[in-house]
Amino acid sequence: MTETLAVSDLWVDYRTKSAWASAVRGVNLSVGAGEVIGVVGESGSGKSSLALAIIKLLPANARARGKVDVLGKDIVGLPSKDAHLYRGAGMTMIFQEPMTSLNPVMRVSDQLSEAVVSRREHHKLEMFRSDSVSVPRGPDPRFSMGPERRAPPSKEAVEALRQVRISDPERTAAKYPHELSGGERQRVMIAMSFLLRPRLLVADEPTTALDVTTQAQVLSLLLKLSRDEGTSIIFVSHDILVVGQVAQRVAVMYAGEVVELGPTEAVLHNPLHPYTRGLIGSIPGGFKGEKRIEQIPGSPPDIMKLPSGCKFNPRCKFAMDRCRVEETALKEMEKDHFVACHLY
Amino acid sequence: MGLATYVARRVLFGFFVIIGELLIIFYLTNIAAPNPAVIWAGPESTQAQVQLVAQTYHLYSPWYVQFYYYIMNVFTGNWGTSPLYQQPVLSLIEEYLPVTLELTLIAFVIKIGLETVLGVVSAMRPNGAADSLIKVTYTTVRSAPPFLVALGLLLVFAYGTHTFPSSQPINPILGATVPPFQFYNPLAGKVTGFWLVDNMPILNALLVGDWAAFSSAVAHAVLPVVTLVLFGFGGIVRLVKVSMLEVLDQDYIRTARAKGLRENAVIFKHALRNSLLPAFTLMGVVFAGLVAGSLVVETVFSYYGLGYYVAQSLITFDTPSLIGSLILITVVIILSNLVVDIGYGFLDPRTRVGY
Repeated sequence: MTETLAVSDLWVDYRTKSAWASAVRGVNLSVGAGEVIGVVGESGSGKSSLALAIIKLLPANARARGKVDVLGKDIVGLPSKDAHLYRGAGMTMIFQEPMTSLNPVMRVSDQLSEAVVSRREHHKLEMFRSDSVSVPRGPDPRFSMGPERRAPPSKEAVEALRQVRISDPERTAAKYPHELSGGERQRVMIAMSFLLRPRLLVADEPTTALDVTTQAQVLSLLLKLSRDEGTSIIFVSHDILVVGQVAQRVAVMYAGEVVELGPTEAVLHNPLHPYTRGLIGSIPGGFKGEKRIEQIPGSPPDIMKLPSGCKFNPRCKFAMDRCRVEETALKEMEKDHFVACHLY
Repeated sequence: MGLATYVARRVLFGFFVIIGELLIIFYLTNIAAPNPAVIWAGPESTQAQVQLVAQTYHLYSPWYVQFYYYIMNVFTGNWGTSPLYQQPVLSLIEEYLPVTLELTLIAFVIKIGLETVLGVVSAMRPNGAADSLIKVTYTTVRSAPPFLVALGLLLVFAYGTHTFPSSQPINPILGATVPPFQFYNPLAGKVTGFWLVDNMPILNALLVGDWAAFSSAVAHAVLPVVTLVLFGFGGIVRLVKVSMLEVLDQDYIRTARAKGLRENAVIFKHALRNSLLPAFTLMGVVFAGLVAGSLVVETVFSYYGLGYYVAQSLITFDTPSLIGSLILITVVIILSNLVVDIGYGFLDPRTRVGY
């Protein structure tokens, strides 16, 4: 069985006045079917660029280099007119800002119905029929020829709204996005994902703009999607605690590189990289009952002026001479727990 | 507030606009020709005739008293008689207004359609070959004054190549023989003419099936329509281009792409409608501009519509015609703005709350 997503040596560059600036620098990441993986980092760490590169929605002034295999096919070199074939039922994305991610002039039901039509179109494609991709759990849409499949899209849309626990889904479906609250809109976005039944969902800070109670609902819905449909999820967030609640594995990004990667338990309770320790130390209230907030000194580096050697060395209290000259690489310290640091 | 209340409020508001506008025009015409009795009575009239005209129109009273009499008469359907044409103003307007309405509506539809398409094309590849060509075109056309464009078109296509006729809305011989369109009116219970429509040269010829008249009317309309389309050309192109580029950067466009929609569906179903919103608010202004532009265009092409009529009445001190047709133009513009504002609510659900 192939992995849903395999990113290898991915670089994302942005065009600036003088040169190309790299926001993602040689990232390797693989996501298995039904796996939830968290990507954590400060703003400017390249996590959003990574997310956009995976779904091939980078802005026009950016380019991607390397390999992004989705469902066994490299999409980096794919002409953008064919990219839609891999999105939709292949992969989709939820954005940070629920207030602007729905079309203001279309009814909710119409926007959701589009997802249904898109999924049905996609399931006619050869790549979704082939056995190279398999869905481990949940009803397989390829073979369900029952009444569900032939139901009018709008009916499925209402059903999906009910699934994401929107009260009175019929009335909500007839509304326009501006008539919904932020939490409701984000749940509409998740309902869209339910309708697409994607193999891969890229969620870029989906809960950041929501209040805490809504956040919890949204997280449990995302997990339900992964459980029911076997969707792999890349959960991008700056909040390592939120990621800890949903992800099976966590990748910590700093200055465009993955500096630590491992099972959630291991990364949260036994952080190896000084940056990861700093992230956990700076959680207010004290994770695990510790008393003081420790902050990471300094600020993330400007991607135009990266330090030599380990990119974290100017802010690292353990920095040695070696850190200032020699690049780091990921090393496996425990089983499946990788870190890129000269301390080890 | 419901739609009906909204419309009622706007109509009431429009009523006050017309009263205010009337005051200004009345005052201005009074300055231009304080006592037009001599002009109206004609060059060969006797003293008694001038006296009679002056008394009939209360011309010896101050302008605000004249205004009072005028207002009272306007609401009873007496808009005065044109001293130039010796016909009631209202029936002259009935004759001239449809010609202009037809001309400006055709120009409006072509203009909006063409400019929107060009705007979308420029937005697809900003600074590409098509975009640059469009930019050069509208900069050139926009810099030329409309009367000059009209004269240029006349010179090339009428006097030079004889492709299109130079004046009049229709060949006068064909125009005299084409019958007015009639239909069975269930309200009146008999066959009647279609008010306004039977004075539109193109539509009337089409409805009665007179193909010679129809093709003549179309050929006569080509040059005036082209001039009107080029009048202020490029504003909507730029607006559509800019808002299209802005919309294509929005999150919901990324959502539409993430859904797996084809690029065409993304652009035409999601981006276009949103990027037309700013342009749509301008439609009322554009239409008003075309009606105003018809004054120049109809004069140059001797296209006998309301614009021509207004220009003539200005020159000949035909005050009743001038005031009457300006009221009508105001009504048309107020109505078109109302239609645009209501239409905007249908295009953009977010603004419907405001009704």
